[in-house]
Amino acid sequence: MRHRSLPFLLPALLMLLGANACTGQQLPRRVFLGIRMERVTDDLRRIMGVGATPGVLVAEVLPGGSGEAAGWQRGDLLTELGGQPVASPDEVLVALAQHQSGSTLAYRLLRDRKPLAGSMTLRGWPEERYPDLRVEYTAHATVNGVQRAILTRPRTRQPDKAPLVAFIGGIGCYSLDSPLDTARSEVQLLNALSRMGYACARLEKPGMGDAARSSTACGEVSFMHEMTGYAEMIAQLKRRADIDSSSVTIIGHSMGGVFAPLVAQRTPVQRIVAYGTIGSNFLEHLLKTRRTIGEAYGWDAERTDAFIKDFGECAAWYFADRLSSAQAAARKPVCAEYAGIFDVRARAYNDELYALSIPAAWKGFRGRTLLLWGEADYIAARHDHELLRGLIEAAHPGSVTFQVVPDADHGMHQADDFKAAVAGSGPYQQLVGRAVTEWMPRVR
Amino acid sequence: MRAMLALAIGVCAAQVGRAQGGTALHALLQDFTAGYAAWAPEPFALDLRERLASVPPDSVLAAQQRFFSEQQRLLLGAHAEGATAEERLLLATARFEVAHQLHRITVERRWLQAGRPMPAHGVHGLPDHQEWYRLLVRRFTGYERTPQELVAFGAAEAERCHQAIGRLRALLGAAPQGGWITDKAEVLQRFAALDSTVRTRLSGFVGAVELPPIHPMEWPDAGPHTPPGIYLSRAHNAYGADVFQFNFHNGRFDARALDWLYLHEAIPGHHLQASLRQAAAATDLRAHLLYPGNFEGWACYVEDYGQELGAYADPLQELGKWEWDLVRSVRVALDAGIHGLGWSRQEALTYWEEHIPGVPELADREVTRVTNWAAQALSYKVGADAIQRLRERLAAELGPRFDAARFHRAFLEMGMLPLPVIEEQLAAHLHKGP
Repeated sequence: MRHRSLPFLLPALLMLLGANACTGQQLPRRVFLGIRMERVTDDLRRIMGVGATPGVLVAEVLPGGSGEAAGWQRGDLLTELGGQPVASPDEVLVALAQHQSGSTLAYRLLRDRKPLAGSMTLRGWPEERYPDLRVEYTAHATVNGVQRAILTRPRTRQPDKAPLVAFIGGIGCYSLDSPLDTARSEVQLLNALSRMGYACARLEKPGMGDAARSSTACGEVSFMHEMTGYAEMIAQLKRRADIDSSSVTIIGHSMGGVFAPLVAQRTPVQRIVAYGTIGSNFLEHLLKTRRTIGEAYGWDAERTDAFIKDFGECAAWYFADRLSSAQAAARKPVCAEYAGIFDVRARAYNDELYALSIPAAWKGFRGRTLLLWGEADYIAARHDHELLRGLIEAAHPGSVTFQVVPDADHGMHQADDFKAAVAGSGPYQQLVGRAVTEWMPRVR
Repeated sequence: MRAMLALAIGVCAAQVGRAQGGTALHALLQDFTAGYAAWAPEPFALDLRERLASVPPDSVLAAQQRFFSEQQRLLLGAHAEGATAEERLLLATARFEVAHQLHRITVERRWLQAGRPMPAHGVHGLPDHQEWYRLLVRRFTGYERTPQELVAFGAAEAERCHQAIGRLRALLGAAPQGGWITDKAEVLQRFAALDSTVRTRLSGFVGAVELPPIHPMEWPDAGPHTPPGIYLSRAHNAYGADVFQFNFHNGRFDARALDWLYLHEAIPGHHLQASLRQAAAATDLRAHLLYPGNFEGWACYVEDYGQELGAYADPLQELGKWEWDLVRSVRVALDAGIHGLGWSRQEALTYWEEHIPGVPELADREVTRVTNWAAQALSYKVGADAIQRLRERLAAELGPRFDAARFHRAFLEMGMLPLPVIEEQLAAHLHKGP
């Protein structure tokens, strides 16, 4: 019997090895130029005496970057990178996107109005470092290509297997990998959980951060593919020897909270925390939050009402009639002003999101849920959270908690109210983290 | 170890005489400066909640407390006989600073013990709000002022502005009072003209001085909440030149803001100030201290002397100065009301509306700013008022010996130190004569 079972075991072993190879994917850090750039305005051309030469001002040289290693100085006017003229910060990023860390790149610049040419070896982005947390940059083969997660856990007193917290961000195309700004809300929230013993994975969006060239561009990926990518990443993380696969929590921020119950259908998840999320059809959600946006901007009732009417028409043409934002704008010029909201993601993403029944997704989730809404969050609706609480409570009594976090805006920053949130973000609101940590089971 | 050595020398010097007293004091001050720089206490933050979030752990505060307590003992015991004027200034500054830091540490430790509470609507929401406001008022103005004093001061200043505005409006009669300049070349050209006028009269205001050029430029990517202007010395920009940026949001500049903005940001405001400060020693304690009451107070004070410098030739320009002064004055009362007396947002908005009616959007912006940046708005008016009072006091004491240019020069060369320290040292300096 024992001998006979071997051939059957082997494929399973190979699969396991294969899976390990997946989680052990190599994904180099993206290029770290390490400069702060400033657009060269006409005024600056006059003051600096650089005439009409196209270029980008090196406003600051950051420690550890490729610029510092190449001897760049504050005040240099970068004119050419990798043989391409660069006239704006965006063009520098484009020129850089084709290269990876370790490669050599030629540059030209003006220093004190004199031309200077050289070549630089590109360095990778620095890694986050903490005295008490271990930071690991993992890579995962998914339907979208190779995606990145940033895993933090305590350096000391680790249990053999740590419970997992996976963080999924909002609708925008942005990276959660920011070693130079660890004060940001997501990092602060997850680090607090890591210090309690959780292994916390920030799931990067496809096409963002280090995965810019290894996976589908964020602006092109569909909603279901993005969701599947997250589910695959979590499934792979659960297979790690140091993760307790029976204790998985998703923290879904904004749209991340819509992904969360869908991900849980693909790979078992015990808890979901949704902050500032969506609980109704996307079109309804957009309309009702136009009212809180009007309130936040201090508009009077007539102006808000007219705005909702305009927006509603444009949004209905886009989502229900499936016009492009340009076609909607051709019908009604004001629609051009809202194109940025529709076109932040691909057509396929918006179509799938519009077709989605968010209540149905939540009804299928049998774990425990914490719904959080910040009192100064005018971008998500309190009403959506109340809807979700009601429907989850009806489907799975006792499994859901809804809590309002005082003085917190959509980005989990401190803000007194809607208007204060518009005026500018404060630092991370620790009450968000407190609400989460008090709800989460204590880790021993 | 060095502090102990300095103490030993100090004791010795006090016994043997004047010349060595200065040397021991010098070593003591060097020690204090090195320790101060190493602790880098109280990182500058405008936002109250950022300020609170930056409070270090109790173990760090406890170590800071040990350092500053020991330094206070040494500084209070130090003898200033035989010391240079420079050393006396720095000793007074160090004594001021050490007392302030010890107060800060006490307040911050109590805040940690209370569980790091974050207030929603300003300082008044903190359990220890009276001490916090006292601390922040001192940090931003240099002075101890009660909320009641500040509200009264803000209201009196607002009244003074209203009177000046009334006088100028009557003078201007039916002439158009304001408008926007939409041609940036015109803004630049008018700043350049004012620059050459002010420079020709500057020696009468501050004595002979060689000043590098100051370049006005549009504030890049300015938004609706961007302030009217900002000064950026070459040390704080990448342009290799000293600049001030003006708000040209929506392609327009407030035509009435030309003169006061130039005086405030450029000459004799921040540009002159920064240039003379660089000339002074930047290696001692002064390199680490920046008191807003001093530098914003000065830049605000000089706006009142525009006429002497050839500005405000057009009454419209002086009108613009008083209108902005009115905003600054009302902010003082709002700050003390919100943070010191616990005014609600609505009470603050009502106060604004009583003093500056008809601009609800500005009211909203300003109440938010004052709520978020506790005590910062005090620095302009409280500082300017203190410099003006000092000038009047010294003019009365010295009679015909008072020389305003000498007063201004000595003030600027002392650096951006707490105003109470400057008051004492500057008075001694001027009384001694040239």
